[in-house]
Amino acid sequence: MSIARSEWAGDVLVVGAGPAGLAVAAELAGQGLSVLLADENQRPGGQIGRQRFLRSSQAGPDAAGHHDPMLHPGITYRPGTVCHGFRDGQQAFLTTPAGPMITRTRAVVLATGAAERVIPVPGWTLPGVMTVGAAQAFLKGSGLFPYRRVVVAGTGPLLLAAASQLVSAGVQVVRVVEAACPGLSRWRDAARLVAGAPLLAQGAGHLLSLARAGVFPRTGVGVQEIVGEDQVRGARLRRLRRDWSFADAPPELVECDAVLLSHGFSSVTDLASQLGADIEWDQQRQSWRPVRDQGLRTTAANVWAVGDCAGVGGAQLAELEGRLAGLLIAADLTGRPVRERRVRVLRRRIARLEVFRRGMDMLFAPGTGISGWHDGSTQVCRCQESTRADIDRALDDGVEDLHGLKLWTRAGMGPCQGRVCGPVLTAILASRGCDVSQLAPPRARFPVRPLSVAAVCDAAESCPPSTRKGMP
Amino acid sequence: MTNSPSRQIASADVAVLGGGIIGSAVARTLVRRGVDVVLVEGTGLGAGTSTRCDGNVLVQTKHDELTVRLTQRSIEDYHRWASELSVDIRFEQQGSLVFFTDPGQVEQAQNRLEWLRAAGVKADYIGPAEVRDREPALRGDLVGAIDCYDDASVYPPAVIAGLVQDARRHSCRVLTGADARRLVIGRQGRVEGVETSRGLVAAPVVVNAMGVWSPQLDTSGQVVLPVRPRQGVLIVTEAAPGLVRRAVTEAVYMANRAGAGDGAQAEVAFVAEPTYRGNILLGSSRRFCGYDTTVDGGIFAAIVTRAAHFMPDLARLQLIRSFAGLRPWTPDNKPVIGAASELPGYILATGHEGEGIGLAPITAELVAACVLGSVPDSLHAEALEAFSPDRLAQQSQRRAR
Amino acid sequence: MTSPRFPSASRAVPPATSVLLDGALTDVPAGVSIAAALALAGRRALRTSRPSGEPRAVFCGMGSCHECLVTVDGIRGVRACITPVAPGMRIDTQVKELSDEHR
Repeated sequence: MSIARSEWAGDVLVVGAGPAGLAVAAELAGQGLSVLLADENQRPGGQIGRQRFLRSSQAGPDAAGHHDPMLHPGITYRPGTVCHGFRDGQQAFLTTPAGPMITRTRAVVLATGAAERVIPVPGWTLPGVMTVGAAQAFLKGSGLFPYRRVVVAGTGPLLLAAASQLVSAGVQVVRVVEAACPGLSRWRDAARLVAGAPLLAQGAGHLLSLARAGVFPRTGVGVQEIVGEDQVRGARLRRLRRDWSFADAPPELVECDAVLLSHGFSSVTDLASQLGADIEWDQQRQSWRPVRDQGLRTTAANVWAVGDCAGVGGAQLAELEGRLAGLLIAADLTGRPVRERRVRVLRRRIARLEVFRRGMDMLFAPGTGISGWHDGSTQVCRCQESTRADIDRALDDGVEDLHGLKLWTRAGMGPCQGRVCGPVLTAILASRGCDVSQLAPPRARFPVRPLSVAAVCDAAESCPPSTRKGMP
Repeated sequence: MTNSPSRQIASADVAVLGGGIIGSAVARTLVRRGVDVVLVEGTGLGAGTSTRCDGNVLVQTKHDELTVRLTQRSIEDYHRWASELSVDIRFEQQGSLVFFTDPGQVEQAQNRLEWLRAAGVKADYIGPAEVRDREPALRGDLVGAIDCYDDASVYPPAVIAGLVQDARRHSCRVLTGADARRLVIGRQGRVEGVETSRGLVAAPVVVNAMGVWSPQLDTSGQVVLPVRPRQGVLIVTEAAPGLVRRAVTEAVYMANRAGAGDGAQAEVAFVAEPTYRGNILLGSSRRFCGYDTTVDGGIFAAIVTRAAHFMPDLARLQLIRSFAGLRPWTPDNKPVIGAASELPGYILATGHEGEGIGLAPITAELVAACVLGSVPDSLHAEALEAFSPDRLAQQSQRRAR
Repeated sequence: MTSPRFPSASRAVPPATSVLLDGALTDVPAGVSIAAALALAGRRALRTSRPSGEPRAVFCGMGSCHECLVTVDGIRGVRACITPVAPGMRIDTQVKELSDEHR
């Protein structure tokens, strides 16, 4: 296979073709700007709009499509493309299915979305344990799910949605357990914020279809342990207290061959961090996020961040942010006046959704008890196999921050670059009395996603003169 | 000299500034000999240079007999530390290989081998076929290599963790987040402590082990350190155990290292090293760019393409990370270790550039000799002479003339 | 091990495509992800962890966790969950360590 370096020069690089990325790209292209829309997935729409690969393959040679019919002609769409990082706010290194690509643009919009958060429990590395999103990806991407008896556990509305999708695909859902069990006062506060949201009706619909299948979700229950030798054989479920610590009640062992876990979402901040943008702790969402100004611009020059990657808020909010950023960036790049009325309307709608978001975050915020979910031998970092005991030892030895934990325990040094264990390490630090808002945020370095040596060689024009010294 | 009053947060016989590998080693060595020590670190332990580097302890790349002997002593010390410390420091003695690509270098290589052997180093010169046998991934046109059998490596964060843990057990106090700003100098012209961002640390002896940040300590103009940060980039591959078996370096690396290298232009030389987890570290570059730890895209590409040139098998691997460390460079490429005669109570342990890991154990011994006033053995005496802070004043005087 | 039966949404059976899976010619539905194709072929563990050698399978399903890395047409580190199968693709699970090739 011959791989050739390609270059793309234009106005804006948008990384991520989920709701936020699509909206910003459409807005920019609509105003006459040239946009490169790069996305790791095969189809646009992100995790929420994930479509079947099947459909794209049936569409014929367009499958690797550079011009999706759904998209504006001013958008160059690159599916299956990874952004490894930036030299600065203008130059990015991508790998496309056809080889490495260097982009030069006047602006960059990060729309990289969020990653599902999973709190480690003993047995969570067994084959058959996956995120709720992974199960949905199996269903939506191929119509298949490779397991038969499933426990769905964690927190948030996604549990119900996924469970009902699994039921309609013919999978036996044996338990759905929600960890949160908010007290009456919290319900009252949250209810004011979420009242009337369409999500409530959707949730009721899911509950109904689950009930028809004989599945009755329980609240205030968590997974204490997943059992099995080299694959899942069962899960031990146990009552949780309000703070999410395990209650004294005896656990219930449920036989299953898969356990789906989801404990909320964390913004994917790696590219923003690699670009040198300031990253801050978002207490409400329990996640790091890039610092942004009113115009959704990060502190790195020429870099904007929109949607879940800048604070998880769901697809609708992401799309509105994408539109807003598109308007503002277009004005910035073209020198034309900002369309004030549209901006005002978008800001109002965004503000309303943020109120709803606060309510949701209030209901499903992980309790402090999660720091007791893992035992000493539980791997916190799946890549490097650093255990909870390794983490505790480092903390006992005086390590006080995320960077120190990474060095001392190697947690976060594997190929995933801490995307999975990062939120857990932060939670452990918080449980030891550390003020997370004062911590130095995790720093991502190039390449933020694994990059093959071959791609770098293909992309290199020539060695700088200084390296020729001593060349044979 | 008057000092603005500040809350005293600690007092000790010796304040060691800098919680990198040098400061940790010095603190641990001193407390084990009964000295009351406080270790003062500006951010976090190992947060600076010592964990943004490889863990090589190599005799092979040295230029003078003294450094060869000191490094040999360090390898022995690390060997001992590996059993003494309760943290696994990942001490491995897998040797090192320096290869030559130019037929014109064969004679140079032979001379070098003889010189190394004369210094007591166990090494052989091997031809291309033998090189391939010992490091199968190393291809390209090479004329031969020196295989140096005793060379070792450690995992620096583990070394620091182990040293600090042991120091604490011997009652060493550790202050983190205490940025050392100014030496407190008494009326007699003697050191009385150090002003930090958290308050005053009173100590009649202060050891500056702050590496690239050592010149930033305000000494009221005394003992000016010509230490400058020189940036080095390393790139990490996915785990590929066995692909590279020991530190492999092209000969030009040594010339780059010794070069005055005053320019801002980067020098890149091929280095590949296995880590204990099977990931391979690819290097190397040297560049002056202030305190910037950004990995330059051009240097990244240069390191990777050069590595793939000498080890084509690397092309199949994924790169997962890169990082840049700042090494404390000195104009004569020698560290600055010992008491500053013009400022009693002020001891320096800095300027190791790329030898901080390699020379940490011996540096700790040298500082201990200064603090305790013990009679050093002949090797120590020679080192204290060669690395003396007083040479810097003489050098700058010479330059001025 | 017998291949598990898959519950699936009611749909027409998709067209099949052939891939070389760990050296064996295998028919999989066209256009699905490599992860789904492997699951359909009865493969759960896709790689072994380091250093303990535990079996690992798809975890996040969206390209984030890098648990599902396989070698595709000789290129290591391909994420099975976000890469679709293509006709004639050679897929090797990374259960075998790279070092084996060098011993």
